[in-house]
Amino acid sequence: MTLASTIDRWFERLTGALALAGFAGLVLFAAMTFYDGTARYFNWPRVSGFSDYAALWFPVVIASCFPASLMQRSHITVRLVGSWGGPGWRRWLDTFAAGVTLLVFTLVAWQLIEMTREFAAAERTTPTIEMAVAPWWFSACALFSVCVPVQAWVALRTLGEALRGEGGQPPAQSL
Amino acid sequence: MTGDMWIGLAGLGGLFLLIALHVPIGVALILVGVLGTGTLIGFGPALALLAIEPSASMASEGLAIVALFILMGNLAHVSGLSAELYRVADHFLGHYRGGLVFATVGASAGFGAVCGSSVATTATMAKIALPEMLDRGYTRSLAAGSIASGGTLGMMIPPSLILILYGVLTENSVMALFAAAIVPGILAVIFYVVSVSLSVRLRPELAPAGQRRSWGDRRRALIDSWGIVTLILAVSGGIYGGVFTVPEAAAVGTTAALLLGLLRRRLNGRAFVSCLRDSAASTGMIFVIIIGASVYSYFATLSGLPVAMVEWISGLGLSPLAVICLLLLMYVVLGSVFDSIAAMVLTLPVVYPLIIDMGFDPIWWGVINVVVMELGMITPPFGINVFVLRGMAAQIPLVEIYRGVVPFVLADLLRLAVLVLLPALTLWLPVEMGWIKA
Repeated sequence: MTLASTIDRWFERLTGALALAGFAGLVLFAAMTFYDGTARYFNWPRVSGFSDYAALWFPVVIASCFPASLMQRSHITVRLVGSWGGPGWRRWLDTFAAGVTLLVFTLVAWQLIEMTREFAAAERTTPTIEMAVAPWWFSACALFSVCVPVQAWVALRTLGEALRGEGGQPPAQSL
Repeated sequence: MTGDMWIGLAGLGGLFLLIALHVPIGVALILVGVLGTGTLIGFGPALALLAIEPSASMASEGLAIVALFILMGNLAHVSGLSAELYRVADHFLGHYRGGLVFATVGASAGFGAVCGSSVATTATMAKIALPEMLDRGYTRSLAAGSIASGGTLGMMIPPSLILILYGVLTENSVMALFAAAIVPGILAVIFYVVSVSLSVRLRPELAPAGQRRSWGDRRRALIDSWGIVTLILAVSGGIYGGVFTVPEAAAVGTTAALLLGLLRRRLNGRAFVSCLRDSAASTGMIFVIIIGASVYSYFATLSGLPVAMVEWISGLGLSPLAVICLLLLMYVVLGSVFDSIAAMVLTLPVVYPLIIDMGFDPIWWGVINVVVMELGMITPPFGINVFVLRGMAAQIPLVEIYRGVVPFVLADLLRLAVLVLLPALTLWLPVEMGWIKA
């Protein structure tokens, strides 16, 4: 097994585990919403500050999706120009796109961390149950930051494929 | 044009250039939005946008339901619920000439009610319905055409992901959009059935009649399908009956799909894990586009370009109907090149103010937008549903699939004309349900 495939597998496992944990959280949240909705009709005790939990929970869940999405190269991309210029042309365009994606995700991760530090400094809390916002956003930032090494690896791999004149991206994924 | 507008225009050009250079659409939107905003008001506030817009999208309850509906659709598919829906439709309609096409269209509409995505509906129906139709002597073109076209219903039948996004991005009621999509969705099914009936009457060799099932068989198929029927009733009935809010319906649907999968022993550990991973990847993909759309919209609004475009188009002296026709043409072209969500978010900052300025109802336009993009998904040169089907059925040439979608494209064009000329058809139900004012 080559070093590249070992790193590939490692990143796949990591991003898969993060996505799994995040979406398991979403399933739990769905169950909680189900309970809260049902409780309204049966006069059972309601979940206090439900929308506060949602506002804290969702960023963590959504942030967990991005690394898996990047690792699977699940992007909505138009590959018309690449298909006109042949495989070599397509690989170099893919490499350029992977580099731009890395730049954008790095900038977003940096700015999210800055924002969260401001939340922590201001000791910001949720409106109803007054839970501290910063720890949840730090978790979301940590998950989102995984995108940077993941996309760096994807970009490196794409560059390698372009240099060797092999491989290439899978077809663009879409809804 | 002011200097800001030129920057806006340059940004638009840069956006299309980046997209042409294979940059993912969401990423291109973010980059152009930040660079453009930075040029207009400085890079400090522009960089801050990179925290403000993603955090707002990630914490939005309205957008989190997208993740829930994606998960619900995947769970329903893994649990075999879509196959049951097709079986019921086949038992009731399969004996008519072209009956399996009706069954495919009906099952696509039903699966759309728990899935919300056209491509996912097409991919699911290709696995279930295509072998059945080919085995029973249906021509490859009609079989493939019906699946690609039926798949577009997934985008229209609530809970439609694209309608949720339209509602959130334009700050319109998602419930009103869902209610408005019902009549056009039913019309789609009716028009498809009429179109196929006429086709098989003119060319009976396209689709043979099947064997009529006994009422006992039909009853059994119906009883066996209790899972999917329960899920559809829970989600759609819950939303329209006013029992649940949309987020609650998404949560109830996801929980119900999970429980059904577990109860029927179709959802083992491996399938569940794969389901969660696939849902996460799709969710990440959509959120990059959403974040990109919001960053780019900020820049577009700041540049004044949408207002200038509205003024320019208004100054041309075209009738509102002519403007709508031009927009529809643009969307058919865009829909055949771009993914439907991408086509919508790319154009929304410019088109939406125009629609409002001309006095059209935003709910009506949301539905029309979806109908025309459905059309783009099955029209040449790059109808995405056709390509999905081609990917799953390599033995069917692309030309044959395109030939098969012709009756459905004609039906869609007719439906589009009816809906454009008679907005009351779309707006009647949301008005009756009290979601919008008459």
